[in-house]
Amino acid sequence: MDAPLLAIENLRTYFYSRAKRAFIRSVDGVSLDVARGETLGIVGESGSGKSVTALSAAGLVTAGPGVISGRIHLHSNGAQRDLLDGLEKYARVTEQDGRVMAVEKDERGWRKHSEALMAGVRGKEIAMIFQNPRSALNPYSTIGKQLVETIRLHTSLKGESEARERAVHWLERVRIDSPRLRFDNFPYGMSGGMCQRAMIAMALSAEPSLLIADEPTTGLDATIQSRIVDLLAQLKTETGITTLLISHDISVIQRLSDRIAVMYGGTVVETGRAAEVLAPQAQARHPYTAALLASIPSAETIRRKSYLQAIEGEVLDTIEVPRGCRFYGRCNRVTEAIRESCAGLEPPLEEVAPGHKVRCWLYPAAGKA
Amino acid sequence: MSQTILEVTDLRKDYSQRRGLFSMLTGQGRVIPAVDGVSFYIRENETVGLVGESGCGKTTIGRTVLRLTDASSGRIVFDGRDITTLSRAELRPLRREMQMIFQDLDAGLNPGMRVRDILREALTVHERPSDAEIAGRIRELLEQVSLKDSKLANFPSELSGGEKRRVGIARVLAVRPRLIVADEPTSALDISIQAQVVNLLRDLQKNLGLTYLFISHDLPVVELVSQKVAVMYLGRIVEMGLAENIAHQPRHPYTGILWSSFADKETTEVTRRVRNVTVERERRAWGVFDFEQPTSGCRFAPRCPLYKDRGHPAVCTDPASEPQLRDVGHGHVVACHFA
Repeated sequence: MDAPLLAIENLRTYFYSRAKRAFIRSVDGVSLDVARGETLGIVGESGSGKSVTALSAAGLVTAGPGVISGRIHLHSNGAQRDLLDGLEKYARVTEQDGRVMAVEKDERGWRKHSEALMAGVRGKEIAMIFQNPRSALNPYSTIGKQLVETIRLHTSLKGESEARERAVHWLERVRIDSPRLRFDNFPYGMSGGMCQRAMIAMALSAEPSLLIADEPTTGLDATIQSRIVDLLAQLKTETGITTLLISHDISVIQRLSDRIAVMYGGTVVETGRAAEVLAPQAQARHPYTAALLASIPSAETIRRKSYLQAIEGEVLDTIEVPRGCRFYGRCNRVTEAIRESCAGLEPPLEEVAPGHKVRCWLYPAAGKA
Repeated sequence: MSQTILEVTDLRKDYSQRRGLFSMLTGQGRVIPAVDGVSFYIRENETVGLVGESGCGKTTIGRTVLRLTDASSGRIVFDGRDITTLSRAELRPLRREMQMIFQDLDAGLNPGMRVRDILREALTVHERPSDAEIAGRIRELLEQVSLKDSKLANFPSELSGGEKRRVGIARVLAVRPRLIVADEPTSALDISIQAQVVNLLRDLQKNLGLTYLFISHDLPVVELVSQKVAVMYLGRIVEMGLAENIAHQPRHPYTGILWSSFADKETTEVTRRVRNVTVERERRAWGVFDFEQPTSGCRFAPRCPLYKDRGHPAVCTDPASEPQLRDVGHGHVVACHFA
């Protein structure tokens, strides 16, 4: 089998919170693969580490101490690189009882090193679209100019006029009306949905190997959201671009993803093919995924006007990581047989069916580890 | 059948917008009708959902019916009493009967006060209870919103989003309101916490006999909590009826579009048609939120799939015939020439 385009291995990204005077283990040992041409959707609640995982992959984590350890292999255009190559020598973590006590990191050395590794990768090999597109576009420049700049910088089209033609082409591809007129528009004159389209055009115009879409529909109106999802689905079939999609909205993830990773408390708790993970009658499933799906009003719930199955308790803050399963405190499926394991030992992410992994003591496969 | 607690008739709220030196000097400005002739009523112990895209005037309606902002015209009757033009002093005793839950989790939570003091303040705005009574009421409120006593000593910044929401709700309940306008009460929360809050709001309604005007863009939640739903588009109600009818048998094409945003809904005739989004129609969609050039006739026509399917009928863009709400049976009203 082909090597995955992106392979994240055991990524750790921590932040220091001054208010809480503690380290937050935002991403805490995440491993993920994105195969060529597929869309991997990461779903989770705020604080689950989904966005930080993506930002780490794009080398865009700015708060300290940031990325601590791990590997991010990118196999694109015949080249193979580890975007975190040589990181170990810059950072050292001291830990005690599930709490990070200190992180020594040579911030400047690491940044310099990382920038050298990311040169020619970010924007070119890995392009990103964000939530709130208006703030990601340059307000002082027309969208046409910004597109032309991207194209001349990242593709073989260096001439002004050919880049212009290509820019108009991309505006058309993202279904922007009268692209030649819109070319000279500034972002402030455009609606949120249109800005998001321009942003998508810009990301794709660099002809990247990997597109990271971080909450691409959040903050847009409901009808516009569904249009942007439609557009992303169309572009996916047209361009076959490999995508890492991050969203808290399960319906968006469901419509666009081939595979899904569910994150909780800085770790991946379940991953597998989208149809399997979100299937209404899944055989094996992480209790968190099940609870998350049950929190959304289903047609049945609405018809019977019954209660929503809420997940009790609060989203885990990842300052003090429990010894056992991170979801233990909120889990409603702990049985007496496994309680001891749940409370005392973090379950490994184990395969329960081909390509379907769950991090839970309920499934016997985990016990064999 | 229970009695009507709130009745709104032909409510209008204009905002004037002035731009530039010239209009400042001449006093001329554009007038934007954020709410443009809206009528509806809510019965006691009922939930009416108000849905629509941002900018359609949902929040303005909520604020206007509570008299947090003055209506430009129209009539608001609360519990049989016309409150449209009551003075601030006259409104004061009514304030406690009508409360609002804001989208912003921090709204109403003074960052310098502990939870205990926030609740105490709310309890003493309208009354002068004894310390023992206050302590009893605080205990009762905590129980109603399922919040631990240990949180009483916390400042708002030390609370999670879900806890802030619970304190916000407790603060509103402190004055024993009858009508609550809940403006996007769950949209700032995580999914798992949203479900907790939705369940809580429904419990409170059952136990305390509350009436809700539930403003939200989260359609499944609206359908779940509401008996009736009103769909707004650019300042007007375009369709209103029983929640299940609005969700599953929408008559107005806009309602169809709104509900079709959800992947797992059963497709109705209208939504199926709407899903086949053509590029051309999509293109038409971008001019919509433009109050500067009011569309003549039906304001949804520029985005309307029916308008296109029927070959651009003249009646849809006739300035003299903006579609009015009409009854299509079972109290279901629609403002569309072709519904």
